[in-house]
Amino acid sequence: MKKIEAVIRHHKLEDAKTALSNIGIRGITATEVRGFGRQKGHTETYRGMEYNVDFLPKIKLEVVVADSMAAAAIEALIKATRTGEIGDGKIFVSELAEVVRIRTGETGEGAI
Amino acid sequence: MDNASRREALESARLEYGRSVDEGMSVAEAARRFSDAIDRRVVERIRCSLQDTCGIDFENAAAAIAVFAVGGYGRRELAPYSDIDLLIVSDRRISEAEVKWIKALVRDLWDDGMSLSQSVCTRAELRRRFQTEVETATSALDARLLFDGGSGPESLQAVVAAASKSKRFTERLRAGLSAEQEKFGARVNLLEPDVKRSAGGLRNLQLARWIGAVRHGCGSIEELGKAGILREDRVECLLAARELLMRLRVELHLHARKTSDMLLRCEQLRIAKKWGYTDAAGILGVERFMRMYFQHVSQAREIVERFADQQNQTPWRRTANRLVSGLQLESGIRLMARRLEVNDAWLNLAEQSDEALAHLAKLAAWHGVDLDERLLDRLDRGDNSGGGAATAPSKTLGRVLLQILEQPGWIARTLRTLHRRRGLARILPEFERIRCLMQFNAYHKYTVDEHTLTMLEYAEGLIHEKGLLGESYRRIGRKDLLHLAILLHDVGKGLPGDHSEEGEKIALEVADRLMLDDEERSTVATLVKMHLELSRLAFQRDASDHRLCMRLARDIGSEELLRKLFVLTCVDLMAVGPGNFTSWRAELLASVYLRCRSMFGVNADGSDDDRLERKRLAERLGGGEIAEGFAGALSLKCLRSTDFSKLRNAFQTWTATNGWPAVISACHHPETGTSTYLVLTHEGCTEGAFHKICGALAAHRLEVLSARIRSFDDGLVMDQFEVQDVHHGGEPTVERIEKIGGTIRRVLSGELTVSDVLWSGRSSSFGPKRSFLTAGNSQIAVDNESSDDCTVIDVFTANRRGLLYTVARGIFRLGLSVRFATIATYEESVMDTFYVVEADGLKATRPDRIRMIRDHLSSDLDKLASDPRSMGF
Repeated sequence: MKKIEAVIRHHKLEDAKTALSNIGIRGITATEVRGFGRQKGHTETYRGMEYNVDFLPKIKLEVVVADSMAAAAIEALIKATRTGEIGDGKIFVSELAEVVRIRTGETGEGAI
Repeated sequence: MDNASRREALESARLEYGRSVDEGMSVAEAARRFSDAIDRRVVERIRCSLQDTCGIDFENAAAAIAVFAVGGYGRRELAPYSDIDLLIVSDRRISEAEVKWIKALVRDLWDDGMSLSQSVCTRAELRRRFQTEVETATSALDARLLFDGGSGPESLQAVVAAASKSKRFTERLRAGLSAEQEKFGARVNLLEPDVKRSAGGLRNLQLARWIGAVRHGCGSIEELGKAGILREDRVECLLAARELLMRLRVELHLHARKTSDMLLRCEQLRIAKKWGYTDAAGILGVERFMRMYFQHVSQAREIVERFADQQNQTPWRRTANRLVSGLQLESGIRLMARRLEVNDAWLNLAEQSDEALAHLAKLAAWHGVDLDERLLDRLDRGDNSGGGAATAPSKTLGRVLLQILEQPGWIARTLRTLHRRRGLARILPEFERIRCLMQFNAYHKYTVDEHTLTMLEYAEGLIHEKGLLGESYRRIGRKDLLHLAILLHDVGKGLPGDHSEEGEKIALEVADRLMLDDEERSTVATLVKMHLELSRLAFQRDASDHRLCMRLARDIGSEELLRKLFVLTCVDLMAVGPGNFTSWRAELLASVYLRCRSMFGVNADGSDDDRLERKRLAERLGGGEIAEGFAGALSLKCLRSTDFSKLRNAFQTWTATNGWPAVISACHHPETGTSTYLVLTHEGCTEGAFHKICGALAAHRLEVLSARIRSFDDGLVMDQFEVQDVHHGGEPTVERIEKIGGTIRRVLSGELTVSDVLWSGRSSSFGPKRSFLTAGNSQIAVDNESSDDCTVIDVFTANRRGLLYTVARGIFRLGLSVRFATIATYEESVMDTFYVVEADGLKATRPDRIRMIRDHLSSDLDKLASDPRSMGF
């Protein structure tokens, strides 16, 4: 099993959710976070008024999938959230030792 | 009997309890019987464990120890799976043998299937705890002796009575309750309440009982009624609420087969069905059930609060209140320290006339006091149909309602008081639609009406709030309209269509009925219709896209309305439930608001560094009002990228020649490929300088991206244009600047007309090929709220050559003078803001004049779209 964590632009949440749902992924956890990556803070200028933005608002998604689904999930996430600009975010994938469904006690892929 | 049989017997007693209630026995009676059954088991176990415990001197131990039932068990108000609370008190230090006995007793009762909560202490410790722990004191107030070894322990109530003599005891009781309710929901209309601990729950009823016991020695709510301390009708209300809450608790416990006091959504559906609440036209059975629930608990809560308030008043305060005659506000209306007091004539009038009721509410809200108790009682008892005028158009009612909503401080409290008694429905019947309306989603914590009143409360609280949100609220000119929009923003909920659109329709009906003027009508309706748009843009769209911000700004129409929308959006999020308005959301929303606001040309002064830089420049230019104005009016870009010598020369020539002829300087910004042209002139040179300069720039194929205009009191004018030169890439040459400057001077001096210069140039192959402007796709908004001194005209339209000249000329022809303007071009979209005044220096406020401005400018733009040559292009 894999745990996929994706830090994405906050307004791409709906697109990401739809994309993952479309390939059969149901359980998604989303957290409102602030990020500081290559995009760093930036200075935006609107008609003479400047905004200094340090940490940028992002959404962190957490999805757990079976090994066989990982590639499809990552591809779906990239397709849904990519704009091609700096600040699109990152996807982190890690091995997962165990999953337990609290209600039934099921474990492993059956609990995803 | 073995342990398993005992557990079975207890379980049977629980089921019997539920059956009795289902068959119609009052819960109070069923609870008493169940408590008696528990008593028998506990007493038997006490005796058995004492006798069975080896090595204990029964006579000695029993003589020193007493066992009390406390809490709900003490009151005989047990629910089937309630904890069994025992207090074991010893006269002296507890011996090892006694500890052994208590351990055996606890073990036995657990084995019997009881969930035990026991407290063991000496009488001395107990006295100390009474003084410091409210919880111990209240549980002792409910204490009932189960076992007394014979020492005749002085009555626990006597100990409590001594402790509770403290003046602050009732205050401590209330504080303890409030703290608990903060955890479980301090508002009555929670979508998923805790029947015991949420506001209006069983704890509230217990508070009345405790206060009654401490102050009057009354052991129950019924006794308070009999002693004449609490009115009979109020006692009935409290007893009905207690019956309902206890019955619900029995249901919840038996269904979960454990302690369970949360009335969750799934339980609401189940119980509503079981109790026979069926769906009716426009309302679900579960909604009818919950309305009944909220009605009971909100009444109970208010009765208890009023009772506690009265009991908390010291005798001298009561006497003082009677003696103080208050301030006479009007004939028959007196302002007392905490209430408005009215005579019988007013009471009768308020019962019959909606306007009179609204008038009293207005006075209460203005003076920050509660309404007369007698009036509230009459509202409680009456059918509140009033004079029936609420559905008929009434300008008076409209004005008074807006006055109620005018001054932040006491609005939500006054309206909440009225709403509880259906008095608000007489002033604003549309609000009644959302009474106790459930919201079936995972986010909201309150019913729609509670959510709305909470929003109003939060909005009022912003008056003292620091930061952008507080500042925005304070700057709102017509807060009454914002507050009315808050009241109406969700009235469309529960209707089949989109609730924002349904709400807009209702808001328009309200505006018609209350005979609001056009501007008020459109403000309220727009806010209701768009109340989700700012958060949608912030959280679900890419708000860095200028076009989206511009679209929102265009749809909202004015900076002032945007400010109101920002405040409304923030308090809407806050009132969803505690913790919903996170700093993540607040910051995102603020940044999107600022972006949209900047579309209206509202720029902050910049950072402190920027202000310092401007101040330094003004000092280097010799100081004084004009120098400060000059430094202050320069755009940040111009300020940073222009050599001081250039600025000084421009400034000196300008002031020395009194703006005649026009002084022109330019600086280039390589990073954006744009240039800033600074034109310094004097109003006296020519009329309508701004539109003529625009025409001259357009003639040289300079596309204006943004402009700032500043007129000084003595007639000096400073115009800055950020332009894209479609003819010449890179930094403009001296010759180019001279050529453009020459044209501007000749146009301003009248040597040339704009048409002359426009037609002198050949059509450029570098000019914009596309024209986006088509007739009818422009929007002109005229707003008198955003600025104290000027009328603000916002023009939203599609870009095309000559647009700025056309609008500026249109404004000039209307006889308006431009004080300040910002022009913003984002690819195909344009949003121009002009701060204008009439020839007499005043705002354009007459409705016919506003219509005229709108119509003329719209017609000019339509002409430009369909026949540019008619406009000189």
